[in-house]
Amino acid sequence: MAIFRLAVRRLLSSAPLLFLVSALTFVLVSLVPGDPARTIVGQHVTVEQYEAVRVQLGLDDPLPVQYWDWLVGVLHGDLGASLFSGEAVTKTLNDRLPVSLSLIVAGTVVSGILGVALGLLSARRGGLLTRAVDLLSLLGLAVPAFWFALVLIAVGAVKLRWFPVTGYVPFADDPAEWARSLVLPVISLSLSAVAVIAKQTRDCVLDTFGRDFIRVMQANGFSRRSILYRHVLRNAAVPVVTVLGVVLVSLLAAAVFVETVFAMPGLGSLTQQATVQHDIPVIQGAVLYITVLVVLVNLLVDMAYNRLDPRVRAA
Amino acid sequence: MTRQPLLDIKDLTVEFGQGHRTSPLRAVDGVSLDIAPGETVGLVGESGSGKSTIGRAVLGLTPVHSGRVRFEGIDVTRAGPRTRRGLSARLQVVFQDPYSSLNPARTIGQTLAEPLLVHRRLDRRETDAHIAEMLERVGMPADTAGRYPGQFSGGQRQRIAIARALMLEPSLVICDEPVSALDLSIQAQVMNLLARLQRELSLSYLFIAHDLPVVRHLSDRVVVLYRGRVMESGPAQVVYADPVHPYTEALLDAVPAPDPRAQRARRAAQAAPKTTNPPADEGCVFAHRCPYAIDICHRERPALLPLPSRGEKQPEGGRAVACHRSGEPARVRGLHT
Repeated sequence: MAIFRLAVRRLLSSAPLLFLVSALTFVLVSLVPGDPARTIVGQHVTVEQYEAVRVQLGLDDPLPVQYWDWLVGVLHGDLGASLFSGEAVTKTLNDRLPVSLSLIVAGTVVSGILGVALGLLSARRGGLLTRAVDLLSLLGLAVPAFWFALVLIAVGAVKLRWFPVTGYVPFADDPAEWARSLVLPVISLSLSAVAVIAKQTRDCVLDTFGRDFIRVMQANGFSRRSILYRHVLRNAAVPVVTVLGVVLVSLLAAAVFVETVFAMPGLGSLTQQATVQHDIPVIQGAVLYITVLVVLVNLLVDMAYNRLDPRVRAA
Repeated sequence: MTRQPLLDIKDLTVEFGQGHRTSPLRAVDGVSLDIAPGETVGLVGESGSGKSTIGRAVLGLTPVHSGRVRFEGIDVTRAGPRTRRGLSARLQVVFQDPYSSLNPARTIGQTLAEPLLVHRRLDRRETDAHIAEMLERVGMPADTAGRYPGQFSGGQRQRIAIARALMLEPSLVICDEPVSALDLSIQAQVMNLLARLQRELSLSYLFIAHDLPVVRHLSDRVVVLYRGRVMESGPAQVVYADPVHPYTEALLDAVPAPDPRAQRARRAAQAAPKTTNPPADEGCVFAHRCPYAIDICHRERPALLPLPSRGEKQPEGGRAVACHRSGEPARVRGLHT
């Protein structure tokens, strides 16, 4: 019940955030030199023709009016149509959402499981593995996802021919091919996330192991296994969940590059194209979708806190 | 005299590795001590003297290099988790830091129920009754069990940690600096609580602290440690009133006097260390700081020997000192005039 109330309250309070983000995007996009009318008509037309297209697109209205029109549409469930393809933005986005979701959810699951497992192992074993995790996290943070993606394509797809170079196969078409098409993008997306999560997990587990209540249990002869799983993990999980939330949001950003490199028809590559073309309705719609995703992720993280840490519940 | 000691430590040595290039650090070096049922033994010394390490070795939290630890006649030097589990009903611990000694994710009731789950088959109602009784004993309100550690102050948490240690009515509780993280007024409350519980439950304490007045208040006997070795031991009142070892004397002198003028006078009188050289492998570990050190102190390690009685016929209640010059009446008298 308390969780439900928390969810409703958080969702309501995110409405102003959505408004602010969309307004800011609108201003930013209009500040970028060039405009969609110019992109559509090209360089070799008369001023009259160019102006006609501008009027037709509503670009001659003052900025607040343009934004107001868009906002009214959104409140009616209409995100407008692409300035180029003419397709409804909602349809474009809904078509592409599953691609991005597959990528991001798979990336999160992989980096969560792998990161926590590596972190736990290095906390328990120490030595060489600890140093390997340190090195990996340094590399993971230093190597940009898009460059790593190119290396993966060169090795995993071009040389070894294990995976397709680019492209995406919908799950409904062929689940096996869907999985195969996701392997390289997910690996390149998760590298830095695995590193960050592994390091955080290890540090939190070691920190918790050093606490006196764990010492009391060790002195009382509780087995290391039951201490680890029943007492340490629960306490170490809170900061790890925080990092997981941050990582998930950063995956949304990294997905823009990874989708572009692997030519995957997702939200990220769509946003990138739309930005190049000044396709304002598409940009606005994509930003709206991504913002909603971020809000949902944060809500999930908060709900996990609530479950894990009684101090959050009391506050 | 023939009564079996509750805890019997013989020649305990604990070493910590410092990588394969350097020789290991000897944190505890051949320490022997025993605790009789119902007795409190205070373990004092500056930081790094090995006092906490001795407590941790008794609890099996740190590997023992040599020597042995006997508890209630059983050798527990290298006891595994199974033996430790059995032991935990009789041997318990209270640590220094009240903020990390309780699991923040579990209610006080869950934490206190843990030892009962291991040792006794009690149903829910009996467990709750037991917890309520113990909380009352340590002076915590009845609704404590349903709350989380985060809702209590340091002193209250230390009371809860004491309650956890006493859930199974142990015979010995190792108190590792149990009050040094608390305010002075709270310290007094917790110390009084420990003293009252000892009377009510006939407990023994191994009381580890760097704060001498605290130790004096609670201990029957004290053991003074320096660099992992026993410098002096004996009945608390006698050692405090009449320290024989120069290190004990220095420790007692370091306790600030309440009167600022007396404190200033004493500071001026305190002798500076003779040399700053670290102690050699042989010789007395305190020699480099000792104002009375003579040649032999740097060459030969003094053994911990019973102190011959001075004035009375009997040795003074098992008093022992490790000092080459402890027998010299002139020096002994010279110290206290």
